[in-house]
Amino acid sequence: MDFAFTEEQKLMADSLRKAYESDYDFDKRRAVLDDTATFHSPTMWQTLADNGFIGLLAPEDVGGFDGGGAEVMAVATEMARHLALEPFLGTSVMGVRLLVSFGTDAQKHNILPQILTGDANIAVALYEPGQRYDVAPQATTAKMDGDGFVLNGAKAVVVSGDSARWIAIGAKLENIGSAVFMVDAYADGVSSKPYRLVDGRGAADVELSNVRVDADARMVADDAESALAEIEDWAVTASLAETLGAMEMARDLTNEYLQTREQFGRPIGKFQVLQHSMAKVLSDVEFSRSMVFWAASEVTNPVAPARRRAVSGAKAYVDNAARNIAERCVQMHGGVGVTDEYALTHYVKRLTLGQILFGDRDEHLLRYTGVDA
Amino acid sequence: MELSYDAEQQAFREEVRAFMQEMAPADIAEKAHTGQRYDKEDLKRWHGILYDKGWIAPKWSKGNGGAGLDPIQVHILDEEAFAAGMPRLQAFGLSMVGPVIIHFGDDYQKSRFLPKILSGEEFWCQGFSEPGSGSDLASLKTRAERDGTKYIINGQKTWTTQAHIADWMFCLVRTNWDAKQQEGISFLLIDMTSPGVEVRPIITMDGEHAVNEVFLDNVEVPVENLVGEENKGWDYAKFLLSNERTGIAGVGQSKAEFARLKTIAGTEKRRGVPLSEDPLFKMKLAELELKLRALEITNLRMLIEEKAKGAPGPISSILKIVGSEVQQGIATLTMEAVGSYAAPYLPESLEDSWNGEPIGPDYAAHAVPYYFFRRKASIYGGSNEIQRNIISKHLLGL
Repeated sequence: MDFAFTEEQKLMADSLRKAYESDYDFDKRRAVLDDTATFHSPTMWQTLADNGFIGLLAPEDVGGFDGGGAEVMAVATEMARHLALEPFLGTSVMGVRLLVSFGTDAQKHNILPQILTGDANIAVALYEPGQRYDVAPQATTAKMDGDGFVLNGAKAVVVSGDSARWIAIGAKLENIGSAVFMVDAYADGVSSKPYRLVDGRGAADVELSNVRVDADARMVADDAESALAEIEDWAVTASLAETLGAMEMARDLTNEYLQTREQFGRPIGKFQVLQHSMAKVLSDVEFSRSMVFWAASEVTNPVAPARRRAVSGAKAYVDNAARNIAERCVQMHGGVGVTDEYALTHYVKRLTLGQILFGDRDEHLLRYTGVDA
Repeated sequence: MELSYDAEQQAFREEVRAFMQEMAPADIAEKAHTGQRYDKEDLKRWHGILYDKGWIAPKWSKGNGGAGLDPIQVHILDEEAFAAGMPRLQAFGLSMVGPVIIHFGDDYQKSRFLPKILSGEEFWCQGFSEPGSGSDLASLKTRAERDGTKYIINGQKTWTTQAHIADWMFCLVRTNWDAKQQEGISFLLIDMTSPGVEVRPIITMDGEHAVNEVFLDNVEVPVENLVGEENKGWDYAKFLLSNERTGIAGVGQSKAEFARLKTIAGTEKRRGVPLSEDPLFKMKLAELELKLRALEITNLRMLIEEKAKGAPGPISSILKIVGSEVQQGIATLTMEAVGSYAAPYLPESLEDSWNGEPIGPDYAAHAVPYYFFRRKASIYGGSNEIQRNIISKHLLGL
């Protein structure tokens, strides 16, 4: 038993930190945030590709890192500390993991390499409008058409869908069952409405109108639900690690503020009511870290109910802590804590988004109790 | 990163579990099920069984008669003992004064006291809190005056757990009134049979007699019962409290109690459905279970740090706070789960001496007294507010 990261994992996080510190300070990030065409920095994304971060979860024989939960935890935590806008979550975690686990040989051979070099991005569509956090396809259908399929339907809040060349779509099959298809975003009938999420990162709503795909677009999965549920658990794990990174930064910014801001002739950190609030923040960060360790170590569990129970349990717990930390840190700052020019509010946005994406607290509490029965 | 126990640790757990199955007395285990109170004889019997096995002082080095286990092994032993329904053993001798004597005591004190702590022949209590000195412990006023080869003690201690069954008390006394508060305190070992020692019970709201007032009226203590140096007692007390923090999370006990809560929730029904399937109660159970899981993993992280560095450090304050919240949460939900049969108040039925007819299910009588009992978890061992002060000062630098 140990809770340490390996030297290699630490080096990875460290090189990431250096890259973001030199090329991506708060003001440079602001410029990326103001760009209405591209929602992330293509230069930074290329840097990440060149340093192997996109292939974090890809096997070594294709130039990947062959990483698992610990690597995702180390990298995602570090990215959140820098408020990174790049599509790491949607592409490197969700997309690459989907290809590795469920891609056909041809997809692994043709699509995966473009992803790892940063030449094309990929996103996984998990949900549909009106279906909340249900990954089972409902209104999206795939009809056999000669040696291919015709897809119709719509997908909601596809994370990294704004920049994706490839989008994985779950669809109901005609008679029985469901499947996941790898769809070219440039294909006829695919329309995508890109937008920024709460924290500034990109996503899109995707509509499919008589989109024709070849038979080999169908991925290797028994059904869409179980495949997408596994990818969703990876997304949750990465998102929890991001939340942890944002929590740490919110904690540090607030603790620093308590020591510098003076009222009534002394630093406000001398007031016990704020000390105890800050102690609660520190405690919540550490207990959340424990739960992220749990999710990160169980996300690779081949027994799906055990994997799901840990990941959902961690999400239900950490979401609550994230809300508490975000609200407390704003409150302890006073007015400064609600201004856009100050970094804290951007971490608060990240913490808030984390509670919304990939299943909220209620959803995961239900999942946790459901499989526990 | 690896959250599983390794093969060696698993093997140790199997060994402990097999031992518990063979040696844990069934009548004592039954008390855990119904919430009956363990009496001194139960404690002595279980103490003796662990003593014979060599596990009575798991953390002490083998040279001092302990088992020399590492923090993770100690945790495993703790979990398995609670899972088997065994009582928490007297911490005052084994976890508190014992290590102080080992580190700061002289040869006489080691040979006089340690063997009887190990054998369970002598029970200890802790003379720290006073009527005017609770969280502000360093303000204590019990006076010790040197008179040749002895000290004369006058003052009063309170909240003294198990003073009525203890043979010895380790006691903080003031030996210098001119120095800074913390620098005038000494650490004395007092024979509870000494003339001038009077113990009066304090009955707590759960009907139990566990804590006491201890009056010290011209009590004579030989100077050889001074631990370490005069006026250095605060240092020894801090050492003692930092040891106390290890295991303060109470993970093993809370896991065992949570399992019993789940059993009750599987038995009690609302609208014909077991509470464990009731939409509201199920969610409360889930949230508490997750808090317990977060506590367990955080505790393991601290134990690994302790194994590497030798001491848990101030971060253990967060374990004390959340550990006590979990204990209280379990007691609260147990009370809720029992329902209307939690209402009859029969704390006397939890004692061995009681021969009456139980009212309601066998686990019912314990529920409310235990809820009351657990209120003190956030008060003792440095109240949770004091723990937050420690976090602010030592971890946040505020």
